[in-house]
Amino acid sequence: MLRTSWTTKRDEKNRRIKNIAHLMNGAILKKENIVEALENLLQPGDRVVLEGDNQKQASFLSTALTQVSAAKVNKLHMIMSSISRPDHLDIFEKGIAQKIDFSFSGPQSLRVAQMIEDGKLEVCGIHTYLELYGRLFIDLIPNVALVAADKADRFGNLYTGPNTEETPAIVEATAFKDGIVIVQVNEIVDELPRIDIPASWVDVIVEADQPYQLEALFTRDPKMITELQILIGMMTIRGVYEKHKVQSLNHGIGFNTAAIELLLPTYGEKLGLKGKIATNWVLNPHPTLIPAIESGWVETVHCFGGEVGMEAYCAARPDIFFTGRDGSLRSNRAFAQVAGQYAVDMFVGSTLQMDRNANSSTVVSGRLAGFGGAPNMGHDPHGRRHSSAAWLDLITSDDPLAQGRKLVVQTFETFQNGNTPVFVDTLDAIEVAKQAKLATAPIMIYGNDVTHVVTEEGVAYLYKADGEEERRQALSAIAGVTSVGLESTAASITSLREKGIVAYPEDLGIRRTDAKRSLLAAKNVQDLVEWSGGLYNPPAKFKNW
Amino acid sequence: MLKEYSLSDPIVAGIFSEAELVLGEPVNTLDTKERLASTVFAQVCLLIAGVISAKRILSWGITADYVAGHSVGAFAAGVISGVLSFTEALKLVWERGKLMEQAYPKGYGMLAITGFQLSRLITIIDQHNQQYSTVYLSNINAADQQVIAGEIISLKALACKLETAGIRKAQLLNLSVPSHCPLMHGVSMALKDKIAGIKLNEPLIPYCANYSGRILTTATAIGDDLWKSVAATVKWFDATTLIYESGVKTFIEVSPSGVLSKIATSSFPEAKVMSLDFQGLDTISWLWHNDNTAYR
Repeated sequence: MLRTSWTTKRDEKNRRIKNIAHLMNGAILKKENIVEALENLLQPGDRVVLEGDNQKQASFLSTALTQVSAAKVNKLHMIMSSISRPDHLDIFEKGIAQKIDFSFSGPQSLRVAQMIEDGKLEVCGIHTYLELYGRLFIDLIPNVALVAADKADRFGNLYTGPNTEETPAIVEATAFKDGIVIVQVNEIVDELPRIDIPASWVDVIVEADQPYQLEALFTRDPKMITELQILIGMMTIRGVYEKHKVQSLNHGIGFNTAAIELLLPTYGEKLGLKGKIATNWVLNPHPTLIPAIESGWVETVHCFGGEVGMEAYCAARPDIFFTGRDGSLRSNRAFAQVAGQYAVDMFVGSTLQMDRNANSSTVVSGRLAGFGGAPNMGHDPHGRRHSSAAWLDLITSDDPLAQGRKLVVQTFETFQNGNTPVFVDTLDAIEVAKQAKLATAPIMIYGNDVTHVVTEEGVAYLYKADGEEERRQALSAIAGVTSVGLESTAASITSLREKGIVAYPEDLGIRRTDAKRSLLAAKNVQDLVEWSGGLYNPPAKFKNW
Repeated sequence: MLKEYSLSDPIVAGIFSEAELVLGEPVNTLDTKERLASTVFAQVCLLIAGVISAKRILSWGITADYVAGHSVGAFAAGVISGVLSFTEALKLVWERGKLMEQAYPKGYGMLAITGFQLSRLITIIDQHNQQYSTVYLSNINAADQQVIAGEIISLKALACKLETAGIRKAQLLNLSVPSHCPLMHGVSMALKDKIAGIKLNEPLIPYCANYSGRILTTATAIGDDLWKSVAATVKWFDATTLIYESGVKTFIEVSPSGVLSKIATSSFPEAKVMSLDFQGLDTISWLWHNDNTAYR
């Protein structure tokens, strides 16, 4: 049968938009009419992207969505990179939405697990960020996008500013496939600092009653960094960054990586490594990177998102950060994730659990936290074709077709909170997968992607190990007094150290007693403010002086 | 526990006179040292103190989004949420205490442990139960704090095993009843019958379940939790995590205070945790009414 129309989706969009014509003034909708507008613009079964990553939340729109009548709007299929707010799940409790595709659910991880078990939440898939963005253009094309921006002008152009994050990716997938783009803005102004998203991509602008929710998620107070973390940082700098001449990289958000950032200008400087390692970053504006930037270590930083309090600092350092003509930071989560996957030589992260085969997961009993972006960066992309010194340095064979390899480094203390071993016999993720009836266990980083593991005991060069058994022995040699560590023998440790598969601090020329807090370039948040020349303006909860 | 209450407070006077009507003796004779050694009197006193102190907090204009009661505290939570009257709760708790005491008069107890994650602990318990008389996970209070119930001989052997494995703390509690485990099945069934005879009201405040770690919003579900939980693991960590994820920023522990606010502080470092006995009502009320953004 020949189809009679090629514009059904466009016609449907026009029909819905016409239904709210009486509420609109140009592109502008009054906030008190948002619920009525949503009830007209949404249809049962729609695919709806609700913007919210781990920092920026379209909070006004998510609250409004909980207030629509479930008799009119129901069975929605939500697409959300992060389930962060209570109202994200209230939408399901109230019967407005039914299915979900998401990436991360750390702040709601128990409730998500319970709601799956209770049949209130139908999870279609748990993704990494890039997978989810990719599917927005393939089989999860949105009918409606609910996003957040800092400012709009009266035509509907948007300024998303330092926290641009994933807004462009979501809007693109919606706007160019006849979906409806609804934007909450903090304010409507006459003139925008710059246009991040043009008005022709946007259908409805609503000025929210209060600014969108924004969390300072990447701020680590140097005061909390322990000497054990400093020791791990020193070993990582010597045994990984220096050894492989790593120049481009991404850091996770833990205290271990914060320690490394603060050791570069002190310990790294003493080793004469400035300019040789850690020059090009894909990283949010971590306040703990300020001393390294100020002392000339860092050449460039591309950001996934912004960080509360770092706006003025980033704006004043355009040689380092990506900024607009107006001067403010431009972040872009989708591009930063692509960069983190393909363009950097190394990912350094941490985990809550690791098994004998170096598989790691942040899912612990009964909590389903999802992934976020770590798996994009924490794996070796086999599609990579360009080379670099570090990438080539990981080749271990003479095969003329041998590929280089991305460094995927996990750093952690063998016990977290003093008494909980990170090395475990079985990952909790397996049991959680059974409870939540997931098709696969939620593994953050698979063991065969991990090239290095660094603990307070030493460095395991897993990529060098010959076969599974030797990999396990290498891991065991740095697993301390955990059940995994107790399996190692003195003989195997000696042999592994001779082969360079395991290095202890003394093998790297590090004395454990040298790992002192005095090595940190900044010892507290106030020091970071001083390093920044007063440009960094930490949120109140970090102003503890 | 009850002696400090002043009868000039109408809340205290009301609850005391209701209690005296049910029990047939003055309230100030309930909390003697000798009597508190019995689980019956201990549970009754916890109920009276819990209900009075929660009512006092609410009478100062503080509003609760959720009520949560640990173990017998669930009955006070049920009263405060309006599901059952204090008189009904008191009769049930009296009965519950007596049945529990009669069920296992000797040789049973509870072991409190701190330091191991649940999955690690469960593995050790499973191994232990192959060799010794079965012990049960009775409370999951925090990520690394649990209570085990069973025969004392078996609990002592388990404590030794845990100490070898590096547990931070394994301590036999001064409790003679193995609560919240299948050994209480008979008690649970008897309570079920009693509760079936009461007309429960729909809750005015959502209630956190011991049995399932869920938020409950119907009278039927809350009634079920009150009888089921005596023979099932108290999922306190889940219940409190769930309300925290649902947006709770402030936890207030009613009297007698101490244990639960410590647990909340360790589980939710970013939350405001207050306890009636430590801060006092004046301070709690001042913070609540004057520091809106932080406490609501």
